[in-house]
Amino acid sequence: MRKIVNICVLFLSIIFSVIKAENVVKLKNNISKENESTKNISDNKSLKQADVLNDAISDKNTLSEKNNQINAGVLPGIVSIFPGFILHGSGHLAAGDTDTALNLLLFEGIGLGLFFAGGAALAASGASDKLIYFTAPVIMAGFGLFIFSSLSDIFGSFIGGVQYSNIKHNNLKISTGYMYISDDNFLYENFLVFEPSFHLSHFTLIPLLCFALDDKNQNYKLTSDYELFGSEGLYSFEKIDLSKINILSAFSYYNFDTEEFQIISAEVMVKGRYDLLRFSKSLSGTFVESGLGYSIDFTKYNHNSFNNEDANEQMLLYMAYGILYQTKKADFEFLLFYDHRRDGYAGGMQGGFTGSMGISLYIYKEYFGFKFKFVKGIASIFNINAEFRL
Amino acid sequence: MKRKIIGVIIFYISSLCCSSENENRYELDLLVGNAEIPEASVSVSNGLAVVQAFENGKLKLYSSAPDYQFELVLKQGSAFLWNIEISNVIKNSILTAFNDKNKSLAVNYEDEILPDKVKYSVETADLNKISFSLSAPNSKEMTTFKIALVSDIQDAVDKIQDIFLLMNNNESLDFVISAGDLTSQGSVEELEFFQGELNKLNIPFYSTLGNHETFNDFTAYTNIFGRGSFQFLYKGVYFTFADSSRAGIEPVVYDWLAGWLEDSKDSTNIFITHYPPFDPSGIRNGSFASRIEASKLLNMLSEYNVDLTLYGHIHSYYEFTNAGIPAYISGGGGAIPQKFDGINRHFLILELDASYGVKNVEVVRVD
Repeated sequence: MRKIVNICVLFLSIIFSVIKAENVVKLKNNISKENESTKNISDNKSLKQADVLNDAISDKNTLSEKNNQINAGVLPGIVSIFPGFILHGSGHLAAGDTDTALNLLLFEGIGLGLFFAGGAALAASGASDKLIYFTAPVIMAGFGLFIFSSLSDIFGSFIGGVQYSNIKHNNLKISTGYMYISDDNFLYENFLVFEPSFHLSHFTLIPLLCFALDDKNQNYKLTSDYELFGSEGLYSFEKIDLSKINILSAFSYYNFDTEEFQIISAEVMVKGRYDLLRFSKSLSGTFVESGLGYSIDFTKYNHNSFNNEDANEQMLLYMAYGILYQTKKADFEFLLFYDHRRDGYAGGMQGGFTGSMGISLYIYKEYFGFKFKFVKGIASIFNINAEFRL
Repeated sequence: MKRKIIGVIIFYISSLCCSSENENRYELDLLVGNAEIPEASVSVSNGLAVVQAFENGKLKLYSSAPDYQFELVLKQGSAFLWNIEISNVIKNSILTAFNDKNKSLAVNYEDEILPDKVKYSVETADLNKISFSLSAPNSKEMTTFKIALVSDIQDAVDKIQDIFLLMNNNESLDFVISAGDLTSQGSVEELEFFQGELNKLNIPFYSTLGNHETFNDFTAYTNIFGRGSFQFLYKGVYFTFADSSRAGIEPVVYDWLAGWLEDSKDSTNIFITHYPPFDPSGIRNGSFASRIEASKLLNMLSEYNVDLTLYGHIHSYYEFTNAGIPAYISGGGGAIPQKFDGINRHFLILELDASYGVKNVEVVRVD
């Protein structure tokens, strides 16, 4: 009963905040004029990007302080979990950042709206294959917005944003390590992973080689990553930050020698990253990623050769929420992600039409780095790689 | 600050790790057909029937196959007359009994309660063990026969009667098979209601389960309808059912399949499971959760010369091939139909022959 009363009080306080928000809008108009100077700084590409980024953050923080006052801490953080899980933005409201709180609530609403609208369209059409190109992305986008607004509320109200400087792109990274796969339907468990990456201007080439140590199983993949927009992109955004849009394409080959089948596939995906500093100062150091793409694979069974009858299409959907935290000792990049694909070792979740979920932690310095990754689909995957950066 | 960030990350990780564990459904399958009371015990070979009731002198079985054997072990205090009621049997099936010295016993045909439900009685004085064998008429003959396939009924259980009527009116059908999703939520009440509705069908109904049977109590289906994974032989044609209700097949079931498919690789073999390994519209993911597992299964079916694969789950009709094997998806039992595909409620009639294989597949439109 007390919880219900608390939720009602919180809900009412949000309504009062909406009335209060009119005054905030007036204040925002004044701030937007001041923002012009910040944009001019960002446009000047003759300056070092890192300096520009720091200046931009510094300016934005100064401006935001007038707008997004936040007193992040444990108490707002707890509120962001409950009742925050139901009313996103509760944590920011408790921390005094009304503007962000309302935006998060709005995104929760949009997320739920898209999720249920897509779900209703999916159900009403009997999961029609003619509408699935529309319904599946809408459902996943709605789910993504719902999760993004909740996680943002938790991060912002606990921490209140962290500062960061520009990320250096290394021209050559050599990543190698160990991967453990728990899948009761296959004999393999232990893999050796080798994944170098070659970076030149807007373009990165990433070959991947995975060899099972305890089974006759291999996976080879070649990914090309072209940065269209972003700090290293063909075109730069007006504001230089973590945001970017990339075009990825890949070819892969799986050899299941023990089970006597092979799979080849080709895929293309447009993937974007949005720096949440653009959304609120309290979310500085966090970002969301999403990607949409298409793949086709061909399976060669023991009696047959590769043929069109055993070709299978796949919609690629990817969403992630990330945190970038920089210290003098190392940089940390944490990612919580959802991957709609079902053709990898992880597969998708049991039942439904979902893919896999995972977390990754990337710790790096100038010349060395470590990557930890855990993926949960119908199989569980744990991967640890050491990286040499040149 | 570091501690706070680590705290937030731990929260995210714990949210991710809160996924339910896999229940081992195959363990339930192994229990089907076994029951024990102080005066007797019963064991159905390969779990091809559910023990619905077992009291001293009274045994009720619900069949998952036309032909099967079962054994009754009698202990001290056992009744001298046993009434055996068997449901879901082909009309005019014959029950034979033998004592532990393989001597034939008299089985009295008591009553035909329904066209597919029969009551027998056996005198068991001075006997320790009785082996029974249920045989459908002409089930050993290699003749052409017809069966029907209907799947994905779900919440349209109140509309299924007209499909049953069409099946009853077609006297050439020997029995009906299903790839699951018989109910909306898989609750005991729903499953029992559906089993009651099957009384309006004059021929037996053999099924595996779908994902909807696992939404509520995942043990209910097995307790009421029987095993999810099993194989039977009828007129020289093998029917292999596999439980894929969790968008995949359990590793132990792959071992069972290897044995069953090895036995049947030189005969006509029909494979039935709920989820199609691959969705013909791959974008939709109405298929196995893992595509590499799907490839593993299809490779196995291809290796053992399976003649036909039958699936449900998708509420439409598709005809295609997978790993070179003819495949049909038929989910026309009445669950929310897929739109814009030109087909509504329907069922399939399959004409099969042990020496010829699959002679014909006909789509019967209901709406």
